[in-house]
Amino acid sequence: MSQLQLVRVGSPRLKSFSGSFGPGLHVLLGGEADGTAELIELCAGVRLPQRGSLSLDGVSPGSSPEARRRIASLLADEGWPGEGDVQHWIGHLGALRGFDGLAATQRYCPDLVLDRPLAQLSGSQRRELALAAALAQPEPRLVALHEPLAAAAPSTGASVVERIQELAAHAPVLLTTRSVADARHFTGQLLVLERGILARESPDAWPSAVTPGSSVELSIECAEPRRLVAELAQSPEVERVAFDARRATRVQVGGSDLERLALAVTRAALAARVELRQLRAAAPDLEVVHGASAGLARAAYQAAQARRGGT
Amino acid sequence: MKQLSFRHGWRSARLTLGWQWPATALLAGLALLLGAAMLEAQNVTGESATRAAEADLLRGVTFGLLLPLSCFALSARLDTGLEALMRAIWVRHGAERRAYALGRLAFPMALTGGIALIGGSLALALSNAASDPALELPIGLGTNGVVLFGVAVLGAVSYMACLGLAQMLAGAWGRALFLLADWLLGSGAGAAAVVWPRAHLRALLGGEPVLQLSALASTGWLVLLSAACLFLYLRRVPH
Repeated sequence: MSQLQLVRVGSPRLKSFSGSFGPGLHVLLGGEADGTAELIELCAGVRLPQRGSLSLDGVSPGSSPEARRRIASLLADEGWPGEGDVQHWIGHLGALRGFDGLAATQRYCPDLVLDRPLAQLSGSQRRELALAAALAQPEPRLVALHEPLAAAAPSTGASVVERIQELAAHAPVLLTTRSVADARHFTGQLLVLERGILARESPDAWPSAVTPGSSVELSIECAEPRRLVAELAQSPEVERVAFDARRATRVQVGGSDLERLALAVTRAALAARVELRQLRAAAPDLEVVHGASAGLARAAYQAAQARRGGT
Repeated sequence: MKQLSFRHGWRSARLTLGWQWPATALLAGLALLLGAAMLEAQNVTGESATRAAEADLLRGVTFGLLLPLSCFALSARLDTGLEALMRAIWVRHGAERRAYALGRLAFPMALTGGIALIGGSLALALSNAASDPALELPIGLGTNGVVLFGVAVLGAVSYMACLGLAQMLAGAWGRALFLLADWLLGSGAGAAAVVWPRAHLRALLGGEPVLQLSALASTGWLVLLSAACLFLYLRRVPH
């Protein structure tokens, strides 16, 4: 059973990141500015830590080709050789990694055109192909994926989730995403990365938002706001609904997660057959942000006190 | 696996450089050589003048200007630094990074070696053509071809290895400083010139020897310099 060990790892964005990851699924919630993309690069061996150490079963992936051959990864920015077609690329990949990945790759990338030149693939198609190749790896010792569901084709989302869970049974699977909605597709350990620091760990409960305490608000402009509000009131994702006093066609809705809220609004508009003219995130009041950050700081302080008392 | 990694490195360098850019560089180099030959031809009147023209074209233009500049330009375009090697696609998928780096460096070595060989052959041919046929000078491509080939290979390997190390140690500034130091210090024949390829290449092409060393010793120095630079360069590249 493989073990990924990070000891006080420092990189431009990661600040003294430590953690030990055994077989299982580990979801890290956070944006690229929080260091999620760098963490995956470190795990894939394309970056060396500036400080600290990272090892997979005692070996650093950055300096061991054998270790890299057994790491399935999807980076935020996938580099590509400039020549050849898809089949040529998969063939070379198979020669290096020691497996015939064509059939497995096609499973997660069904629209794959084998004789298509790599140079003609768009950025999203390249990421889709890279994800398919990563998932095709038969017995990886580590799986490190950045935003896998964003890279997957809509039709393969379920099989991608299924394959990731399958891989997690035998190897550590490190998955980074900025989307709470994507993170909810997986069952496993949830970690939150904030500005390069492992902010908190929620082994049992999944948070309703990346920054708990700070709710999000959407401003909607539509032709028939009353019908939309009636539909929105039935949605569990919507915590508050209000008409805008300054403009009759505008509605303000509030909730805990931006993506889920936007999805709820879209569903409600479809159900009520209301045409949406504008949908934009409204910036929260400064007082609300102050209140939320003070709450977070208080919670962190209490947690630190509790840990100190425990030890 | 090392052989496969080397091939990936070679192919990656070939793709990065393409064919258009090196071909343009070669044509520009040959045009420079042709221009210099035309200027030299105006002064060719006797045996010593022909010899001087040959030396100018071979030592000055081809191995003193064309080779270092094409090595510098190819090295800059290729980016042989650590960052590029860390992120290389095939290395990420399990290629051996040092073999890959060597393959990536070997391609411009072969390319610049070829450029120097073509330039050198043209320089010999032009100086031969510019001389008075009545002199019947023994400047033949047959006798000097082997020497020229060896010097071109040694020159290309030593310059690319030194530039690779300079890039690894100090980035683009390192490369520029190396070129400048090679020009300034390598032009002499004293102890300061011993570690610069320019001085030994000049000596091998019949110029002033460095510290009165023989041609064989200069060859040895160039081999040693190239090997040391390659060793230090590859040592800084993680597996």
